[in-house]
Amino acid sequence: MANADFNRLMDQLRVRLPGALDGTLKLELFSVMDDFLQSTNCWQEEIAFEVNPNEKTYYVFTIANAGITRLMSITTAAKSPIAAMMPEPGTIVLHNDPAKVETYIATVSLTVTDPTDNEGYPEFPEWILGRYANEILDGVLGRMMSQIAKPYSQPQLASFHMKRFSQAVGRATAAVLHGNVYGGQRWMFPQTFASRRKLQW
Amino acid sequence: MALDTVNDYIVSARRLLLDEVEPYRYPTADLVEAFNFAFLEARRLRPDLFLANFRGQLPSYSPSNLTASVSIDPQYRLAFLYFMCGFAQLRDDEATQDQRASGFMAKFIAQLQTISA
Repeated sequence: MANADFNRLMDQLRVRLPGALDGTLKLELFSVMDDFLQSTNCWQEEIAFEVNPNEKTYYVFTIANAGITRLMSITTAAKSPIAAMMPEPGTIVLHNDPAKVETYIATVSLTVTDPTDNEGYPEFPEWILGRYANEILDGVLGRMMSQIAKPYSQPQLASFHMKRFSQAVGRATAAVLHGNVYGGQRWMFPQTFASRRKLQW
Repeated sequence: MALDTVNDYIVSARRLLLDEVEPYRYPTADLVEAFNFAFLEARRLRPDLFLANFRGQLPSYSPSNLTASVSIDPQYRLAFLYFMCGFAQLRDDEATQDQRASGFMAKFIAQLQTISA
């Protein structure tokens, strides 16, 4: 059952897009959410996995109905950062062999994936729609209005809404980078010396 | 709801075609055929109406089962009715009927593609 935020979003879309079908709205909503989540990294999950000496490649899976977009960070259980990369979603390749058997924690960003729920809505955390409702509305409006030969085709308004969506993605990305703290940064005092080193290859 | 079954479309089309008394000028089989053709044309103009049919066949109806339910979005049911009437009248070669036929067909297209049709 769609929650109040979904219902409000759909009602706004139906009012603003005369002639649009619910199925098409949900189809475009999926694309907008995929774009939004992949661009902003605002949906993240920590995945614990066990590492073994002499083994650099590991596969991680999310428990949510979601696709992994990219690796945000890996730490030991004691929060020491580990250098690694994710050449394919879900595949973690460590830079160095682990010295012992221990548990690492990978933070990955997620995006929507199939299957959708039984009403055709993509699944993602409720707070995202509550927090970014107008931004998502702009994205869906822009994509719908850019379709050709529909009662709601409006190239100029499509451009307007897509520009607003793009700006909103930028703001949301910055909010994620700052840990959603006004003027804040993601790191917390005291930092260890190790966390300051560059973690890329 | 209005226009739920194939028969609903046939009855409404006959009303617009002024063909409500038997023997009918436009046989039921012809109207059902026109209805099926409307799906082909609508698929071309508004593929989004057939999201559920992308991995299957378009709906097709038979004169032997007029109670079959029709799953067209309520916003576009009238457009299909206009196509049926227009297609039925295309076979007439009187000038007035030609105008009515092209009027119905134009309304079908306009309703699928514009707001103000």
